[in-house]
Order: sequence, then structure tokens, then C-alpha cells
Amino acid sequence: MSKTVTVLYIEDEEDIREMTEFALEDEGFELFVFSSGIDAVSQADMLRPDLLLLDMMMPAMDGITTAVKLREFSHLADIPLIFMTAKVQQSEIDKYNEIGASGVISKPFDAMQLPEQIRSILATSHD
Amino acid sequence: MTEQLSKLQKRRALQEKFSASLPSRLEDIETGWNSVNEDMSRLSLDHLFYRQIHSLAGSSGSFGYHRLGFCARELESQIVAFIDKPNELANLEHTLQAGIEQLLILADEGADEEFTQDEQIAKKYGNQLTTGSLKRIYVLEDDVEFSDELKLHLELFGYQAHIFQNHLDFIQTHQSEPANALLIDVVSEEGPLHGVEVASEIRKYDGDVSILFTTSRDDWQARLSALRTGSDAYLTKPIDYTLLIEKLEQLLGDQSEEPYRVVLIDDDPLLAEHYESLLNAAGIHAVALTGTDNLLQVLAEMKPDIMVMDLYLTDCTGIEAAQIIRQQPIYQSMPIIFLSTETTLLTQLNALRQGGDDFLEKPISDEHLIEMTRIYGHRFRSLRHQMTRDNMTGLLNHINFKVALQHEVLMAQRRSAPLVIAMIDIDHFKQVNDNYGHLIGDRVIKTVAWLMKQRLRHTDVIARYGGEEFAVILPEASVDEGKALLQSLLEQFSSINFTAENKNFTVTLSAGLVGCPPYNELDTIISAADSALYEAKKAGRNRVVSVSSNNG
Repeated sequence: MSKTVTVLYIEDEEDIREMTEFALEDEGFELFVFSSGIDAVSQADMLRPDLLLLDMMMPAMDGITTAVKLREFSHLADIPLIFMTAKVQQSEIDKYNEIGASGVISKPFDAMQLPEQIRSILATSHD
Repeated sequence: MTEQLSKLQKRRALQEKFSASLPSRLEDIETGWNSVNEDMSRLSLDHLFYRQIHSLAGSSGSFGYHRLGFCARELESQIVAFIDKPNELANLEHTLQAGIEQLLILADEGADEEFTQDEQIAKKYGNQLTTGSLKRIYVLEDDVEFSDELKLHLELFGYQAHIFQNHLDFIQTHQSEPANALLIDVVSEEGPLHGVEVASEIRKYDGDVSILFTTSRDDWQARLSALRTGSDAYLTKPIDYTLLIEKLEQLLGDQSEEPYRVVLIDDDPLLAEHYESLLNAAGIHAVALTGTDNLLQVLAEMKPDIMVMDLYLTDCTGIEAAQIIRQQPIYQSMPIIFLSTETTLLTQLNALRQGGDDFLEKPISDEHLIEMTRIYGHRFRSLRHQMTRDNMTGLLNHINFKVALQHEVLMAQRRSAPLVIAMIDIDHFKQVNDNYGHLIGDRVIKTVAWLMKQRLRHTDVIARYGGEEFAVILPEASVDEGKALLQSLLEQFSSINFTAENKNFTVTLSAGLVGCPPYNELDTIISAADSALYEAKKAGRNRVVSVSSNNG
């Protein structure tokens, strides 16, 4: 098994947050969990994650805005970025690519497959 | 193992929590809808109403509410489409109203995937993830040794068994939490026909539950009294477990089927989309196309039970399309239903003569379309079942195994997914036949079939390849996973007690398996699996051997 991946994870919905935590625990992931982009950005300078995992649609600050703000921190500028979203249309994927996302995980996700999905996105993003 | 279990419990707890949140979520959606419905200009992507639906679309599936999530997603896409095209307001109001009602129904029906999983064998191999809860059997039996063995065999075949020694507990538990079947020992310390008295007591308030008697009394009086309580079976000790399971399968057999698969063609994109979402919401797996461009590919991937198409398509007529489809042998008997505004009898008859099975006039009501799809889907399934299945076991026969294999290899290749093919053979089957006769031999074969149906997933393909040889396809499984699964299948099978002429015996299986990729030719794959099976036999039987499909 590869080394533990530290994830900065932002999701506004509690039950999805819990399901993700459940899906990733004991699977080689360590999570910093936030319920809003604002919270995450305010604490970003103290965190050293290997990966940003962001819900797309959040009130107040959406996933894209949050990602852009997080990317402004030099230590977060180049780490892989994955969006989770319930809508996957080509126009959106283009938008994600534009801001340098490594991949998109569509919702609803299957908790049993989530670790593998993330790992495979990470594997391709390191090439 | 305990860690696995607690993980499973946790997942179930999350599901329960989600279920508990549904009423208030739906209430919010209804409130939001009432406000939006008053003034449709309020509808925007920032409106709470939309956000709630979006959230439901994104989360339900993760908690096992697949249909609910699907329905929410449909509603979401309708709303998004409306925001782009506000002139289709009237249409939208109707769709949303109906859609929200559908959400309420689906939420009420509960999750369609129960998070129940067997311990070890990889995450994917549960006790058939999608079939829902296990069938519950209550056993009234005071012989502890016998009841332990009984429990073991029932659980092996996927039943949930509870043993009772006290008849009062037994009756009370069944009253508060009814079982699917009751297994009662006729004789107990309380009296030589006490079990029958218990059964009549239960019959007073439950006329439906299946009651099976087990007994060491094989006399007329006992049988007669048992019969009069409305019992379903009378099994004498020593119990032939395969007979018991056969009886239970008959009585409680799973009627639930995979959803029907439908391909629709209508050149009007809006209608096509409507049909698709309508049928999907009704639990039918539908794919709608607007033309014949990808039709052959979609057919190959979907293997539909039924096709519904407009009589007039853009590049050809529905009749021509039907003729082309029917050129392929596997679609010769698939029902094709035409949709059209054509009302003259002559045209309709003509369409039917040229390869259609029925004719529906547009506009067709939603209920009518769903009903027709179900009727024809059912008819085709049973017909195909007869043609493609082995009579004794209900498994796919030799030829259709190959058809299925071709399909699965193609699918796996397209998805770059792994795939395992295994050949399984009953060890020393000839001796079973020679020692106990063909009837017992047949029972052994049926038992292999039941056990495999029980232990494998819905998506796995199981076939009776020859006399005592079986073949399985495990999509999305690696060689290691397949090996672990078959290993446990072999172990379970070898622990089953067969009974003949008052003697107990056990039987073992050997298995050879091969994994893809590489996605070789069918014959190469099959002969590789065969040679692995041969290796397993040569190495002493009762084992699984895998080979790479290269050195077949």
C-alpha cells in the first residue's frame, strides 16, 4: 500500500461529508475536513495536504472560487485538485480543466469505490 | 473481521441517518415548490428549491437510494433546461409537480440497496448486494446437535436461521417479527405431536406463512395431522438438506427480477428524453435514441428485452429498422413496438406484418407505455428463459454461456476492466451416480446451481456448461478476487451433507480459472480455463487453480 494521502476536504452537506470520511478512513487517507470554503481558506496556511478535494456547489463560496483562493497559497498551488459534483457536463469539465483540476468525481459516489477512484486520478496526475 | 463488521454497521448507520433526514428534506422541497409554483420567475439556480433537489440528486445514490437520486437528477435537468428556455413554462410546471410526487413515493419506499455485506471476500462480493434482506426461518427444535447442523445449512444457502427450543418463544417471536418460513419438529418432550399443535396455534393468526415439519415419525397419523395444519412439507430425519433447500426455494423463491431493459427511438429529442426518464422512474432500464446512428452499438451493450420506436424515423422507417434488427438472430424474438400518430388500421397491420409486435398510437399515456413495456418485457423474458436456460438448474446453457461470454469480454475490454472466467466440475460425479443413482446425482447438480446463485452477484453469469460441469463469468473481478470467491464456494459446497439411503456423504468441486486482460478469443479463454480445471483435477481435486490466458 502506498503512503498515506493527506486530503483537504470541503463539503457543505453533513451526510455526504460523513459518507466520504467513512469511505476514506482506514484506506490510507487522512482528512482535514471543512464545511465551507471560507473556513478552509482561513486555515489553509497551516495545513500541508497532498490533495484538495472539493464539493462543487456550495453556498457562499462555490468550489471553483474556493479552489482559486486555495491555489493562491504557494504550498497549495501545485498539488492535485479533485472536484466532486452532481452534474458532469462537458462545459463544466472544460471549466475544471481550465483551473487545473486533476479530475472530477461524479456524485452520487459509491463509498466502496471512492478510495480507488481518488487513487486512480492521483496516479494519472503524477505523470 | 470485526473491523469489517463495524465498518458495515457504520455504513448502515449513515444510511439510516440519511433515511431519517428525508422527510424534512422533502418537506423543504415541497415548501420550495409551493413558493416557486406561485411565481415561476422565482426559480433560479440559487433558489433553495433547486439546491435541495440538486443535493438530493448528488447524495441519494451514495446512501443506496438509487431511484430517488435518479428522479431528483431528472428534475434538476428539467429545471436547468427551463432556465435556458423560459418559454416552456407550462410543460415544466406539470413535470415538476409529477416529479415531486414521484420523489415522495420513492423516498417512502426506502432504499433500493441495503448495505448488508458478507464479511471477507472483497468489498464487491457481498451476499448479493441488491436483493435486500435475507429470508428469515424460525426453527423449533430441541435437539441441539441437529439444530446446529440445520442452522449451518440454512445459512449456507443464504437464509437467516433462528433456533428456538421453547415453543412459547417461538410463537411469540413469529407474532412480533414474522418469519418467511417455520421449520417445526413434530415430536418434542411435550408430546409426540406437540409440533403439530404449535403449528395449529400459529395457523390461527397466520394462514400464509410456510410451515415445514421435520420429524423422526414417519407414520400415517403424524403425516395426516401435519397436513391438516396446512403444512407445506414433511421431511423425515435424517434430513436431506438439499431436499429442504429445494422446498424452501420453491416456497420462498426470489421473484424479484432485474429491471427490464428497453431501447426507444423517437426523432423528437424532447419526447425521447421524456420516455427515457419516465420508464427509468418506473424502475425500467431505458435508453432513448433520437436516430439509428448508434443503434447497433446500443443494442449490443444493452441487450434489451424490448424495443419501442417511432414508425417514422429521420433516415428510414421503423419497419426498415425492425427488419435490420431482426437480421441478427438474437433479436429475432425480441418484441418491437411501434409508436405513431398513424391511425389507419391498414398501416398498423402493415407495420405488424413487417416485424412489429404491437402498435401504440401517439400520444400515448405514460401509464400505458409503462404497462406495455412491462407486459412485453415479461413475455420476452419468459420466452428467452425457456430457450436459453438449462431445464434442471435454470442456469444458462452451453450455447448461451458463449453468447454471454462474448458480451462480457467485449464490455470488459471497452471499460479496460478485469474479468474472470471459471470452469467448475463436480469431483467423482460418476461415483455419486453409480452409488446412489441418477436422482441423487441430479440433486447434487442442482445444489451446485443453488449455491452458486446464492453466493455470486446478480451481475455474474452462471451456466451449466455440460453434464456436471459449470462455467461462471465474474465481471470486474481480479484473478485474486475470483480465486478467493471460488475457494470459499468450494469450501461451502464440501460442507454440505447429502443424504441417500440413510447414508450421509459429501461431494467436492474443482475449479480452473483464467483472468482477462488479455482479452483473447473466446475459445482461447475457455480452453485456458479448461486446462486450469484439468490441473486442479490432476493436483488432487477439491481446489482452485488459475492460469494466465496466454498459455492456454
